[in-house]
Amino acid sequence: MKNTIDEREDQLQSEVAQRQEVEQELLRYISEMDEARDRVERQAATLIEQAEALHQGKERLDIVLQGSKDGFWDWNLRTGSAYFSPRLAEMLGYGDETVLDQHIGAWTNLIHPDDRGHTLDAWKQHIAGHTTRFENEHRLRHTTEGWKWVLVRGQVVERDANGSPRRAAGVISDVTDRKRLETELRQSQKLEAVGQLAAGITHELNTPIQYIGGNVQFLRDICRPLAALLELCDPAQEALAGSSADPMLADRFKAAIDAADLNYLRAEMPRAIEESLEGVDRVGKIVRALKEFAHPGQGEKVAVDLNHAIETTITIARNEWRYVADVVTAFDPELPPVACLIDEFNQVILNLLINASHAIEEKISGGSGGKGTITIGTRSAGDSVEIWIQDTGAGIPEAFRSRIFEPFFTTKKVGKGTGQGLSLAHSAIVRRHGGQIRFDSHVDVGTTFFVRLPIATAE
Amino acid sequence: MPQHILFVDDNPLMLAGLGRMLRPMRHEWDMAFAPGGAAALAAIEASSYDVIVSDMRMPDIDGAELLRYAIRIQPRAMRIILSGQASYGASLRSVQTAHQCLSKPCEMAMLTGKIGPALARRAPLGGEEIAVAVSEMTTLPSRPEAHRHLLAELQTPNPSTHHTAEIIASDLGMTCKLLQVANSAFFSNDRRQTLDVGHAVRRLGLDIVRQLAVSAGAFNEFDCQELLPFVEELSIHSIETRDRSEVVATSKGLARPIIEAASTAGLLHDVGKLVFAAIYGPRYGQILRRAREEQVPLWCVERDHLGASHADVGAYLLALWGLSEPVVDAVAHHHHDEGPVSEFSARTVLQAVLRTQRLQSGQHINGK
Repeated sequence: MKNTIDEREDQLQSEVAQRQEVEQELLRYISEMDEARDRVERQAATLIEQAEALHQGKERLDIVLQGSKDGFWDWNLRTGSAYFSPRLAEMLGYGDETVLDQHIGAWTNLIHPDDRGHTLDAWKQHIAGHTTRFENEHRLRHTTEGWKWVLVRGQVVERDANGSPRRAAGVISDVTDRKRLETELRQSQKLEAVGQLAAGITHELNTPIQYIGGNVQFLRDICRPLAALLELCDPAQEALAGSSADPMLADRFKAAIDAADLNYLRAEMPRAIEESLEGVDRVGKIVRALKEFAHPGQGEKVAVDLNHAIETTITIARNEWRYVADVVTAFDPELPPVACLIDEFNQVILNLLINASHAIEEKISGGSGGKGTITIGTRSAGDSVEIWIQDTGAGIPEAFRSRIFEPFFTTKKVGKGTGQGLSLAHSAIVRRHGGQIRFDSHVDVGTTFFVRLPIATAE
Repeated sequence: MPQHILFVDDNPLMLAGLGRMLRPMRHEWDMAFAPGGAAALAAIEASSYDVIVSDMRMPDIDGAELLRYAIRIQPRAMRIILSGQASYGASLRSVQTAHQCLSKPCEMAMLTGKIGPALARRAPLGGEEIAVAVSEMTTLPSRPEAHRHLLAELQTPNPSTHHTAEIIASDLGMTCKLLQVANSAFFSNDRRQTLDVGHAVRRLGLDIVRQLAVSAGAFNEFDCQELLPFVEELSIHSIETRDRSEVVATSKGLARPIIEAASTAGLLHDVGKLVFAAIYGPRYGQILRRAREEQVPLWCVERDHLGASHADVGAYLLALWGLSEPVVDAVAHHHHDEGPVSEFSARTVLQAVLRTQRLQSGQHINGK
């Protein structure tokens, strides 16, 4: 019995021991599980933190891109595929209807032909490792608005084991407005320099014009008494020949009269003088016009006789229009003086006049032949004045009419027109004079531009 | 007796050309030619000239500088700059010393048209003394109040063109000088004379007006205390006459240029009094008193004691400074009364206005 009891006890003890072992193992598992759970929780927390940070980062990036109105690009150099952000597409006029292909070729195809070279060069420099960042300004074609100037910045962000670039990314900014201002500034600096030179040249020319004119006037003054004197030569010579005077003298007199071609001289001398005077007068007028046109402005609005200013510009630009058109003026003689920045006004009239000549040239080179007409008129209209410039040229096609005042918009061949004339005219008239500029155009009939300026400056 | 005229230019071809061009004037003008500033200086030291016509830009002494000497050595001479010049600095300097500025190329008619009338107005001035004193003047004094107003307005951050013009138009001295400058060849590209002060200010621009007032010394203040009340009164009378002349000329339906000439003549008709007050100071005060006490027209007393009337002197100054002939003519004849006329000019409008003023005040003294 004892044995049985002992056996039982042993059995129990071993069972207890086993259970204790199991319990311990269980406890160990539990603690391991706790540890694991802690770890998981910690990892989860880290993940959440990371996710939040990521989200914040993305949000910040979005804010930056949105605020700067910049677009974002990400380019896989191995496949050529690219990510263009919606803003980038929007910048170039792509959106709901037209889609910008998510491929690098879609971009390079839009680059202005004149800008392809330097853009490619800058890119080559960058991938070769000569520049740490790629930065380049070029023009991209907008779906409807001509050319947009963009600033592209970015860098290669991944290279393979051989160092070949695999991925590049960066931002793109629309800098068209800044470019326009830069061009305006450059233009005005250039005009200022040219103006100063021209003013100096007119000064140099005015002195010789003064004395050439004076001398020719003198010749005209003495021409009449001299002609009267020459009239007496023939009878005097005949009288001399028939007289008892020195026959040698009579012969010499005759020879001198023949040598001087006296009849021709009598007829042509006054004409030569008159025509020279006309020429000097003409040169004087051109130089005076040039002096006024180039006259450095004072940077403030002064009262200007617009009729006179326009007349001056027509004289200056004569070479631009004389072969294609006749210029007719229809000035209001009672036009009041208008407060304006004379340099800018002259530039606007010059641009419109040149555009009118080009429009006519375009039409007559199409075979219609003959010269066209440019009519420039002025009239008072209440508290403003209106200047109109009408040409009988080719007219502006319907499709372009809404865009002609856009900066860098041109229908002329690449490298010919800069697309700035009308845009500059627009900002000069509207922004700096508080005026208006508009036009009326009919294809094959012609275009009329209307410029309206307030008479007085607001004080 | 021919007038003696000196032409100065550093380019001998220019002088020869001028000489030949002006050959038809040989009976009226005795012309001399100086090739450059130094030669001109020697010439004016040696003999006297009625007119000096000088180029601006010359290597040794430039035109403005030469004329500055001329004011000292030969104050009586009429001083003209004839230049192809186009810089503001030089132009501002020349308006300080020259009576008139003309631009090259300049035809004979332009020269004779400027010199002839001025010299003709010199003849009625009895003695040399007055001719000298008037030719010598480079500015006319302004009422101190108006002058200070102008400086204050021009020194505000955003001066108003309108206010500036109003202040200048309220003062005889400043109006005269402003019209002289605005009509000098350099500032009047369109060659049309303006008599409207507002237009003249806008034509020059406030920047130039500021330079004239502040640095070029074109305007200065009347400084004889004793005559200050007289000058104030003169100003009120002048402005009233200007306004009435404008009303009369407008009511007669005259053309715009005649209206402008009439109202300018109205403002400036007594400018000779200001000239006398500036030249003679207290001595002119005695003449004013005498005319009042003895009830004799002022111009008669002026002629007796000074050799010329204020009408003569005013007309000479304005002709010298290049104001248009209708204005000069009206000023010269403002004491005459030709009675009712069928055709109106600045002269007859002014006479009509002054006649009405005399009738209204019921007196015939003081030439008003």
